[in-house]
Amino acid sequence: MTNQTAAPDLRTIVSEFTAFEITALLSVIDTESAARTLELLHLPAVEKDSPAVGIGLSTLIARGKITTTGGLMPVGDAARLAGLGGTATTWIETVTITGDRKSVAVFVSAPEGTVFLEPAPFGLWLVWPVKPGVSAERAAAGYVGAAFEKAAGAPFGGSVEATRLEGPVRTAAVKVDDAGTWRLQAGELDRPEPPRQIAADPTFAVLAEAIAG
Amino acid sequence: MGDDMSHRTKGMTMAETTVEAPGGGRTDGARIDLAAVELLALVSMRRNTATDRARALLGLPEDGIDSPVTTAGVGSLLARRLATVAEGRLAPLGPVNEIASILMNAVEWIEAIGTTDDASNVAAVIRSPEGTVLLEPRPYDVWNAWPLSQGDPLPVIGARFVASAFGNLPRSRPFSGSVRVVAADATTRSAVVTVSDDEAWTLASGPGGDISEPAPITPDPTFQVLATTLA
Repeated sequence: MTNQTAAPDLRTIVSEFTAFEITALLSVIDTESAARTLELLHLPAVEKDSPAVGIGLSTLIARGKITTTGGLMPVGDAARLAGLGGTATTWIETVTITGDRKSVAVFVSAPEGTVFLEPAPFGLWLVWPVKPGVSAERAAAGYVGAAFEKAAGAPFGGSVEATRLEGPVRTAAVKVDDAGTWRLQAGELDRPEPPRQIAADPTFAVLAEAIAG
Repeated sequence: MGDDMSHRTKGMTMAETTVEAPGGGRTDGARIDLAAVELLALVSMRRNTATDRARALLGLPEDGIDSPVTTAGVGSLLARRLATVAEGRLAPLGPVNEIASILMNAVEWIEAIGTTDDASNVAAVIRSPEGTVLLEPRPYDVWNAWPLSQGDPLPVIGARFVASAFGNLPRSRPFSGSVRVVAADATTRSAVVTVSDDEAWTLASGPGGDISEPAPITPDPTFQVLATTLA
């Protein structure tokens, strides 16, 4: 018996980790990518034997997301997050603002795939998969587009900031005012071009193009 | 050697343990593994004598509900669907709610330890009018929590735990088995059985800080002498 009209159960695709858990998973990986992932998530870089890592390991082990037989080994979604965060080459911080409502997501993109993380109450991060084959830039633009759709005509701002292992940080922001005028400002970090008016683009593909590596 | 084996076998039998429950006695629910910070989140829900005793017994820090360390426990419980937040307050679910309730309303606390030079088994057993939970520390600040259905006095449960440890730990002497009873006012009474290199059994007991000189006793692999001493 199938029910094809049912919405997917979000709990089957979203993972949740505490900030301590992400710190623990990434602090034990000795790569530039792991360090940058922590930095882009605004999580502190800490020593492997720090109390913060101990707390993260403890809850991961209690949750069965790290096995302890024959050394510590992340499994399942924890292994995937550690793998992607430890090999990531592109990070895109995405912010949308509708009135006084702000949403933040950090896209973490590695050769093996892309996820995005959203902060949630109680120090939790929600980790969402990005469909295989969709670039981080396109996915981030899609995230902004989804927030714009919800804004339903209210003044709206959406920005993306792409950091790569190599090369400059590129930013792009679109503002839609209450007269329905669209403006784009893009460029390298701290050296943005002046804002210019653009045609309405609910796909926000213009953001993806502006930050392309 | 033959005597020793029979003691150990007899100890196991008398302890009436299930295969899994190291604490001895039947268990109602399955084991739940809780990180220390998750237990900290539970005891931080209410500040009273019971949670003060639980913090001390489990070696939990003094952090309140709003500290980052406690929040790590809250977040983990939420992520595991072992709790929700209702009206801004932590609301544990199912078996974890039972454990939280025991911790917050507890009236009796004991600690049972079986130890050799090389290894030890340690358990805290906490009882409220609603139920009893045995908590056993594991590596990485994880606790195995076992809900217990038995209504035996806690020192009896503690003595069974020591008997289990005596049977389960790799054989090594001296072996020391102890039960410490903690009262609501934080005063303690302890009883300690020691099995020496030459298989001589001794018992010492008394209030905290005032333990009697060890006196010889008949070998008792059930360790129920610990319970009768503390009764």
